[in-house]
Amino acid sequence: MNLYSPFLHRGLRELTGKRGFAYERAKGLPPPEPAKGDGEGGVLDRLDGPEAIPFGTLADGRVVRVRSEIALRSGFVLGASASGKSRMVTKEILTLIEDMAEGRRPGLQLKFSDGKGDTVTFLEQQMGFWLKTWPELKREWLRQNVRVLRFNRHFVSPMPLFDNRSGKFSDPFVAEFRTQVTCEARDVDFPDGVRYLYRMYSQLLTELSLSPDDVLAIHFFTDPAFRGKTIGRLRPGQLRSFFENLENLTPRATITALLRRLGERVSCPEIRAALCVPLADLDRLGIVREARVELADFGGRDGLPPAAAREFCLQYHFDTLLSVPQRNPNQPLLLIDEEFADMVAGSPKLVGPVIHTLRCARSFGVGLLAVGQDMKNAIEKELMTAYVSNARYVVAFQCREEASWLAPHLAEEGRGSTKDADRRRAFQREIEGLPPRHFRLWVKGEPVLRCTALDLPDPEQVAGCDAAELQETFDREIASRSMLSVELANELIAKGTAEVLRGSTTPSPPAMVRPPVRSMDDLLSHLEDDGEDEADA
Amino acid sequence: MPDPVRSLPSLIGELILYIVASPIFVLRAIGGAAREVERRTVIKKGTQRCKACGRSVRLDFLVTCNACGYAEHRSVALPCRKCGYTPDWIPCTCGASVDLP
Repeated sequence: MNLYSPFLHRGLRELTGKRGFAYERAKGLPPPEPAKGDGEGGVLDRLDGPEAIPFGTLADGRVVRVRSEIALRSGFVLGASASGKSRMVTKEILTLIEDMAEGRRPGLQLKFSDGKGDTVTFLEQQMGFWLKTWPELKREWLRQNVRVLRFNRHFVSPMPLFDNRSGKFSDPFVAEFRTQVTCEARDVDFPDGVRYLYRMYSQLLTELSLSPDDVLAIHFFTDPAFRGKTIGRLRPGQLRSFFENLENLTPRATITALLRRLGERVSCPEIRAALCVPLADLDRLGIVREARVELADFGGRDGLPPAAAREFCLQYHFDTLLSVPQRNPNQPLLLIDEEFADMVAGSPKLVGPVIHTLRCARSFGVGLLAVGQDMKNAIEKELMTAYVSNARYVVAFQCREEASWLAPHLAEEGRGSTKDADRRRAFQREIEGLPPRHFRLWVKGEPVLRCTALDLPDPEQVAGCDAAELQETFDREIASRSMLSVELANELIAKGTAEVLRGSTTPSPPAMVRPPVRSMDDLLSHLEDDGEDEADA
Repeated sequence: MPDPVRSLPSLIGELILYIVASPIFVLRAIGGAAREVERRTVIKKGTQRCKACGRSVRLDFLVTCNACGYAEHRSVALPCRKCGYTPDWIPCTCGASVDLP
């Protein structure tokens, strides 16, 4: 033990006392404010660039602009209800559409899926305002390049699930993923036998380009003559063999169970109208099926049953996600999902394909912007991790659970002066107490920015007219090109089914396109095929 | 009262003993001075290197005396202002103990 020697250590005691006090004080203080001026200015300069999109403003009024290279990559927008996330995303979509209409962003495709429907309505009304005020050239661009997916009691957007005439996928692949999504999305159970039968029937519908009408299905499964005539049009193979031996391979109860499910599925006139219109009629009417801007409303506010809305939403997404590997990386796609992640989370078997797509999306120029609330509780951890790992930026509005989850990713500031745990707690407190429209923007590799969302007034206020009038303008000039009335659709379905049953216009399978003859081997191959055809005849 | 004639030899003996032992006192004093210099150097520096992990362990913070409980901002290598207690070692974050001078 050292004896106390106050005079000996007076100087040392003073020196170490000051250092100890300074250390303890720094440890207990909240994280310092992020550097203002040059620090933020540097971040703004680094984020800005060609074709930048404004995300918000800093406290001093400077606009935070994020260059396309980052903004069109995958991102994540979190926030509680009414925190301002939908408005921020709406502003981003409108900016992109305006740019596209002015000829900028060549090749960009934009798809917006709304699980609630209110944001799509806002966008439609804004476009209704543009249709009244923009010059003719830009109005025509809107008419030609915007497609709507909406389903209500009077009008629906056709969703021909078994149209694979483009040959984008193989027919069995289409049948498989349609079956998988339908079985997962519907409230009704699909036992193994029923699922397998539905899978085979889906492949038949795809190969023959038929509609999933229940009347047609009843005739197919109960009328051997009609069935024989239909499968006679199939190419020889497993599918044809299965249906030729249907009664030996499948119990009667399984067939009845499938027919019940098919009937229940199209029992709503709106759903029947969306799913079952013959492809030939859709082609004849010139219904737009693909566009550079697609606004999909799966809110189910106007009579669409939740299970059907959920299935349509999943089918739409799977069409997009599964075609990602076939995309040209030079033609970027931004897919914005509002509440989609929640929908997928309810179907565990669909999580895998979504995660796979998320992982390979960047290589094909596809960005997924997930918008949602209470995601931490709603989504499986694996899906959440995949979303955030692949996100290039995170926008956090007022939220609770997600704040703690995101803190390690977001709270870069103050590192070194305080403990990690203190910094995370401070970040969480701040995020939980954010006022509406205020958010934190974190682009990976950059410090966090405190931002406020840009103003976005309601279109009817700007236009000085009724919202219904703007909606009517949009419906008349744009929506009518991609929708048809339920009444007309059901007439076309009845007519198409009758023709198929009469056997007068059963569509033939798509003609096999022969490859061009480029060598002697190709020529011999053609000659051999011709010889086989003649022999068959 | 002690007899001065009888106490003289004992005084001389004691003196001789001190003279004989003086090199030991000198050596102890030199050793103590050397340790004090080393200690002042470490205290001024404010950190001590951990031999196990090589990390610099901070010595200046709000120290609570293990003996009397008195708390003050100082170097942990300095004695407590109230009771004079100085710990021989402090723990490092790696789990090893770091000797104090």
